[in-house]
Amino acid sequence: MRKELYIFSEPVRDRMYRYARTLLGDRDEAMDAVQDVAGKLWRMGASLEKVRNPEAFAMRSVRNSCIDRLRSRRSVSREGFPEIAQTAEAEKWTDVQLVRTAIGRLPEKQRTVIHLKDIEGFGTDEIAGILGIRENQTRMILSRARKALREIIVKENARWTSCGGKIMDNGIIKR
Amino acid sequence: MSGTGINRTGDAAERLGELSVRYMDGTLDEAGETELKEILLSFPEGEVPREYEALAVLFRGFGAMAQEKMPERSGWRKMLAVSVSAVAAAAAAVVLFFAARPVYGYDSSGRPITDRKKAMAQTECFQMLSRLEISVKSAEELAFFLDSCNSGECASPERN
Repeated sequence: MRKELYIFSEPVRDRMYRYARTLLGDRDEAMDAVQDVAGKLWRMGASLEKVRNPEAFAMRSVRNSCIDRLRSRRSVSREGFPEIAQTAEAEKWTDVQLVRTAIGRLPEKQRTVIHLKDIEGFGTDEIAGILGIRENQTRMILSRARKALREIIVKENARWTSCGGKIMDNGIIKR
Repeated sequence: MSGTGINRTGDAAERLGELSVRYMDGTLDEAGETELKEILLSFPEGEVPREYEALAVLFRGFGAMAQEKMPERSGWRKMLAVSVSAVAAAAAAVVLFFAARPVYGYDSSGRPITDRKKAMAQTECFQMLSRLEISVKSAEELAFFLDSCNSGECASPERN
């Protein structure tokens, strides 16, 4: 099997899906994006052999596809992510839901860097390659993203504690 | 989560502080990040020092997100997906049936594949793509569904 064809494997597909979901904040749209990208990569045929890092290339393609989709939405920022505690499920939110929504509040580049580094385990050099920026810039974005996430979570934990863990629909706190 | 300070030895507390600062600065190496995660996740639930609670939430959230798999499509959305794999598989079957010499299929550039291993690799890829997409049969089902909707009575798109 040609080595670059591993990008069509299930683990890479799942990785592309997770990344798309983080960027788009929507499960179905993420699946559509991955499908589009997989089709495009497949149609590249033999030229895929010339790509130095096929997985990074696939992730870059996912990012481009997601950015196109985000642009086509009315609001480019905060796309698809509800404010924390605006849904009925807020009462039973888990760490993953809180983290996912907090990531959704970050600017796109921070979202990308935090996802690829802390969830997928890419190195900062690889992320720099995907984003087309320098590695020290990547570290700076990573640092900002982590600090912003921590701040959001501290704030939400404080809010949670102050209202005795009871947050109602539309973010209204029931004391 | 109610701890007010690190209830471990001073050295461990110092190490945790150092690792977390470097983690936040984005300058911690992979081994350091692993160590930091291990320390924070080793605290029993509710006993994470308050200043590190948010970090522990982050690590737990990241860990859970990293396990997520792409779900299978379902319902009528499934039927709208284009089936690259089914078309390709059908084409490969026709080729195999009519070919006098052992041509196992064609690559994406239209060149014949005469190497069995390459053909197998391609088949694996088609199978992989087929998990993202759905069979052409769905097109017929969709047509039936749309026709039935036009006639005022929507049939189930899942009929067989």
